Amino acid sequence: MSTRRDPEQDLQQLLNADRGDLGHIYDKLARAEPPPRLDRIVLGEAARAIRSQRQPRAQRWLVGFGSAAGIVLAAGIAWQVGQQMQRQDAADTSSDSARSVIPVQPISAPADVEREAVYAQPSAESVAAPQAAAPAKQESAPMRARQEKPRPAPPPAPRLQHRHPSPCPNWQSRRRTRAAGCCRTLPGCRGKRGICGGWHPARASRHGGRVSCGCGKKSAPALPGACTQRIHALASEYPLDPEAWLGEIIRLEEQGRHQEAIENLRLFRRKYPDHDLPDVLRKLDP
Amino acid sequence: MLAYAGGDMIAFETLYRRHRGTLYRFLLRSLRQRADADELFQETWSRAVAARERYRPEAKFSTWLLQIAHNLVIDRFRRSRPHASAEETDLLFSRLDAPESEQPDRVLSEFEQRRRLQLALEELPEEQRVTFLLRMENGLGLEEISEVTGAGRETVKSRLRYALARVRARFES
Repeated sequence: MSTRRDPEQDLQQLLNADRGDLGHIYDKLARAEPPPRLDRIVLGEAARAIRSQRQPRAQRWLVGFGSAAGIVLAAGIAWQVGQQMQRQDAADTSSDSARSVIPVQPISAPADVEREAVYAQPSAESVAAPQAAAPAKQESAPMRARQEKPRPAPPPAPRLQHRHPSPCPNWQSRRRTRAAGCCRTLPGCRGKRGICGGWHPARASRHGGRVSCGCGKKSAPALPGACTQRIHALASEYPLDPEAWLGEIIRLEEQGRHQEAIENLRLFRRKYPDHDLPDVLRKLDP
Repeated sequence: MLAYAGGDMIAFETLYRRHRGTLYRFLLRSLRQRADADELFQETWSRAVAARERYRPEAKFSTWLLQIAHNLVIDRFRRSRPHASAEETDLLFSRLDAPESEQPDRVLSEFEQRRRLQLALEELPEEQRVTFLLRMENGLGLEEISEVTGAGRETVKSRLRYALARVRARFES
């Protein structure tokens, strides 16, 4: 090391692959390494960089998915709300109808016969009550036990409208008193429920001047003439026995329901223009 | 590096294991302060990670990484306080070398050779030291050193020649 060297030769030695004698000495220097703390920091930063590089893709995917889900959810909610409103409207309408309907006045003969048969058939309670009230007429218990055979089960109780004691349209119940006074007679209206909706000013105003018959068949303008149209429509659908109809008109007149009798008579004349009218009704015939 | 830019973390770990030592020693011997070396080591890798999208395989990764490190080292040199003057350095080394200088015929032990080389490296001017380290530590040729430092090939050659002369002088003092 103490000998004089040619600088150019020394440089060539340095640039050789083994870097000359200085290279050997340099390789024996302490080979410092970065502390593990630095390794963790650098690798952690690199990993975070990769994650942050991936995250935007995931976020874009999430944004798309979230938007689609939001749209579907909003559409579902809107549809549900719409359905609910429709159901509510229908419920309001039906409740109004249910509150304002009154029993129809069936006048056709088969209907009367059927109803009378229903009313005449005693229920289980009504059968038991007279027996308890008149024990003297009953046979003794042993005799009854011997003669009594197992009875068939009592028939199911008839439906409310069929058990109606009176077919009068002014029949009042707790739920139907509101419309009772407004209902016009509807001869022969025997819809599914056998009841007829009447004209009610308040209900008519709520429903844009139109009301529906309780039997659900027609809708008529809610004017005093509405029932007439409804009656006319129903009368055309349910052919009536002319004589029964005339009898019903006479009964209406006798009950003092003069206007209804006139309207029925007018409809009757439309439907049966050549039918002879009784003397009682001729004075009503316009 | 391209694999890492595509999201392969294992590729980065491989690169890091391969270059961490040479980079750290280059920084440590250039800056001569472990704290500075730690700081710039981390900063070098941070910049490499941040610039992964801009990496082009035309350059060797080691050259590209050392270019980042070299720029940081030069910035640190410019910002750091002025180094001791040549006279102060000579005085320091004369004190350190006094015992050996009193025995000129003494064959330097291996340990002494390493110590003198270490001192000679620290004594070198910054540009010569960096150029010499790029050759000794990282094994770069003239062209690669020129690419890393941005200096011309002849400039690199001249810096190496001067650095070599100074180191030889320290060994022969």
